[in-house]
This record gives sequence, C-alpha cells and structure tokens, in this order.
Amino acid sequence: MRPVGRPAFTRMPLPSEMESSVLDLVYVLGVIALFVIVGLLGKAVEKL
Amino acid sequence: MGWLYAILALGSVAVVLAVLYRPLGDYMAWVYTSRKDAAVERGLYKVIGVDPRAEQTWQAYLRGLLAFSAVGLLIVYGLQRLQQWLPYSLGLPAPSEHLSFNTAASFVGNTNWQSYSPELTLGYTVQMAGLAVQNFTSAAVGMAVAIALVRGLASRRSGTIGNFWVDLTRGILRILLPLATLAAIVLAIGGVVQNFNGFTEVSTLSGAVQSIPGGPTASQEAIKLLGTNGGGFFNANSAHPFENPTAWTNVFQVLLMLVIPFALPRTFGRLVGDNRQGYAVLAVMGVLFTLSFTILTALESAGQGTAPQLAGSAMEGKEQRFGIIGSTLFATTSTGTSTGAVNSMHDSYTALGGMMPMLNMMLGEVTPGGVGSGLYGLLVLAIVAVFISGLLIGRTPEYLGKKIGPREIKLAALYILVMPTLVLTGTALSFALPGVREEIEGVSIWNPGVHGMSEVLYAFVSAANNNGSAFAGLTANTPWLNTALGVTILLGRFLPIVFVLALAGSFAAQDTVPATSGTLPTHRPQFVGMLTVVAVLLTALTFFPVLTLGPLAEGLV
Repeated sequence: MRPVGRPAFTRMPLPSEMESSVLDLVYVLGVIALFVIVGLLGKAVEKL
Repeated sequence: MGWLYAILALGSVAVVLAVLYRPLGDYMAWVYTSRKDAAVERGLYKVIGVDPRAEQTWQAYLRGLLAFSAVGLLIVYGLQRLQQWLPYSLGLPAPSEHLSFNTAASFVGNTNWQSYSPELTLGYTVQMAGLAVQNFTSAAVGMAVAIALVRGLASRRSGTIGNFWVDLTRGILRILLPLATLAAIVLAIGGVVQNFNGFTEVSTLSGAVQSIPGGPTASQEAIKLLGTNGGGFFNANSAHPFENPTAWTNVFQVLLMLVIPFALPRTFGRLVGDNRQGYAVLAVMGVLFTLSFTILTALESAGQGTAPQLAGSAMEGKEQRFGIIGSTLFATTSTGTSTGAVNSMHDSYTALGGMMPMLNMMLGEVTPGGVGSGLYGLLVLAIVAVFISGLLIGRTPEYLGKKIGPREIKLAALYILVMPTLVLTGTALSFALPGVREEIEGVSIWNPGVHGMSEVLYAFVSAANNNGSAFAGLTANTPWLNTALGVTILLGRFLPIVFVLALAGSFAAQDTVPATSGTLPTHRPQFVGMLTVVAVLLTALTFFPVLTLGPLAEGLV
C-alpha cells in the first residue's frame, strides 16, 4: 500500500535507456524474423 | 628433432583415436537407434510434451530445431542484458545490445566467436546458465542433423527421419554430458582451475598488485572442446595457463576436439550397414588433416626474418610451453573441427602459415569438422563427388543405393554455395560500405595493408563456418562487426541445415536400388582420392582470388 499524501515516484527514462530498449527490441525482432525466414526457406525448398 | 616430435605427437593422437573409433562410434550408433528411454529422458519428454515414438518428417524436424535454437538465442541474449541483476555477476554491467546479440548467436550457432574478454565481461551465471548450456545443446543439434541425414540414407520409402527432440536429448544426456564430466575431472587433475572465486588481489615481488582470476573453468573447458565449441573462459583461451596448463593437457585438449568427429564415420558406417563406407569418410578426413598439419608445421618451422631465425622457428604469438608442434597441432585441430579454440595467436603466424587455419575452415569444416557438422558436410561433398565421377567415367550417380537426381544435386549445390557467399559478401561489404569502411580501418584493423584484409577475411570465414577462432589483431567489438558476424553465424549454421534435412527427407523417401556393374564403389581408395580432390578443388576455385588479396599477397610478395 502506498503511503497517503506522498506522491508516487515516477522517473522519466533517460534517453540512453530508451535508446537501449529500442535496440533490444530491434535485435529481438530481428532474430525472430531471421528464424522465420529460414523456416520459410525450408518450405520453399520443398518445391525444388 | 622437430619433425620427430611432430610425427610422435600426430602418431600418439592417431593411436588414441584409432582405439576409440570403434567403441565410441558403435556406442553413438546404439544411442541413436535404441528403442529404450531412460527414466530421466521419459520425464523430460513428458515435461515438453513429446511422444518419443513419434517420427517426424524433415519439415517437422527442421521446425523443432529452429524453434529450439531461436528460443535458446533469446534466453542467452536476455541473460546478458539482465546480467547486473543476476547472482555471481561479479559486479559486471550488461554487455551492449550488439555484443549480446553476437555472443548469443555465436553460442547458439556452435561458433563461440568472442568479441569480448570473457573474464572482464560476463559473470558466472551468464557463463554457466547461458553459454555452457548452449555448448551442450548446439553440439547436440549438430549431431542430430548428421544422424538425420544418415537415417535418410539408411532408410527405404520412409516419410520420416527420426525425432529431433529424442536425438537432441540423447545426444546431450548419453554422449556429451558423461564424456564432458569425465573430461572435466581429468582437466581439473591436470591443473585447470575449478572454483567460484572472483578475482584475487596479490602483490608481486616488485610490489605491484595483480588480479588473479578464478572460476568454474575445467567444467566449461571440457564441453568447449568436446562439443567443438571453442569459447574460452578467459580471453587468452587455451593459451591461458588456467585453461591449458601443461603440454599433456594440450594433447588431451586436442584429443577432446577430435574424438567425436573422428568416431562419427563409424556411427555412419554402422547405421548404413557397411562399415567400409565409414572408413572411406574417415580416410578423407584423416588425409586432409595430416596434410594441413604437415604444411602448417613446415611453414612455422621455417619462418623468415631475423627473429624467427634466431629463435629457430616463428615463435611470435606462441606459448613457450607448447612450442611449434604443440601450437600447430592445436591450430590444425581447432580450425579443422570448427572448434575455434586457440593456444597460439593465429594473427602472429607467418603469412602463409596463417593461411592454413583459414584454408581448414574454407574447406567447409570437414577435416574432420565439428561434431555432426563435419560428417554431414563431408557426406554432401560425397554426393557431389559421386555426381562428378559419374560424369567423368560414365557411372550412374548413386550413393549407398540412393539415386542422385536433379533435386539432390540442387540441394547439395545450394549447401556448398551458402558459405562462400556469406564470406565474400561480408568481407566485401566491410570494405565497401561508407562509414563501415572507416570503422573497419580506423577501429578494427590493427595491421594496415594486406594483413588487415586477412584479418577481416578470417573473421567472416570463421563466422560462416561456425568456427569462432580469430586473427587476434582484429577489434571486433563494434556495432558493424558484432551484427554482421552474428547474422553470418546464424545463416552459416541454419541455411546449410535446411538443405541437409531436405536431402535427408529426399533420400528417406527413395527406395534403395541394388548395386550393378555401373555403380561407382564409394568405399575404395579411388573414391577416397576423388572426394579429397573435389573438396580441395572446390575450395581452391572459390577462394583463390580473395586469398591473393590477403595471405598469398603477404607471403609471396
């Protein structure tokens, strides 16, 4: 329970932290995309 | 004296491998064909919801493999990025995003390229829960793919090639884990450190303060070598006295790297029901390995220049306790097996000597190659050799009773094209892209001119072949190299696997045709010679132009 009368502490993320989160997201999504593409290639190979 | 030592070193390694060839190869064949599951395996299958008796098509096998590897990669990435909140992080901060990606891709891809200094970058939790786990799983994935291809060759009119989850589990629990445990004990007895100490501050005789690292090294070292992974616990890798203290631990490490790749041909022979086929594959691996070791040793023993002549050989970048032979044997083994561990700095080798580890990798890691990847790489080359032989002498293109048709040749050709495409594209882009070129020349390359070119080429050869060794003069911890090498590692690992599993499915679906007078025998010295020549010629034709820009230019001009 939050103490009454005391404002909640919300810190704005620093620019470097935001940049870092975006880069994390880029790498994670990039990895997933890469594996999906390799999987799709597996499907394409069936047609050879 | 030097050559006598070389013959004795190679001979003793060959004797031990020969002794282990049959029992280990037969054991692995039993592991992958046994109908019985251990209690712990049954428990695991229940937890992950797998029916161990359900066979998979090659597409399902591939999907399981890709999903497992992708999840593993994301876990290792997450562990690194959360390092500062993990226990035993030694107060180390999280590595950067691009370094975390590179490291995760590298360990999942059985490459273990390290753009960082391990003891100064990663705490024990990441090293053990992230990297050491991948050392086991990535090696077991390679073995599973090889076994799937062999099953395809051995089966008749089958729509399936086995069960990925069963092959993976058995590879880890029945082969890698017991052997790694045994090896870790031997290494610890040999003086490799094994503790959970952090850095210990000591005062030297001159009054300076030195930080002595500790850590669970022996346990990591064992699977690093046995699984042909190669990622060191310390930055100096197997040149560090805590990882590789003595001459006999050096030979033991060489044996650990070679034991599974050289025993897998026996497994292959057993599974296809003709041990002579295994001996033929083994012979190709052995011939190429011996040739490479001999040439590298000759080049390093006769180093040109004042310093090498005064020292009696090119000793720059080599440990005194290993000497030329201990270094060249290790380098040949490490780059021929896709391990990538180093006990000497390949960047300091003579110009042409430095080309030999590169050539070992350019051969496609088949001498004898990584665990599993060496066998399936050589079997793909065997398919090409059968096809070329058929064209040359008018034999029907068949391998082990399976017809080599247009589909099989397309798949084999695509497999072979992946690696050179990745190597040459990555190297070319590093020098061609504006901005990247400045970073490469200004930050990454320590040696200007053709040697710098060799450093970048080596990095992409190493990444595309899932080796992981480096010309030590390259600073790779930059956004471009970490990302480009990470992508190269992943494509170099998983694209060939797609084609190998497709080949496995294609062979499994075929019936076996009986051998006739028109069939090319693939167990005789003639075919061993043909396969050896095909491997060397393919490499020479592909990479000769780029080698003339690097090591050949440096060594011959």
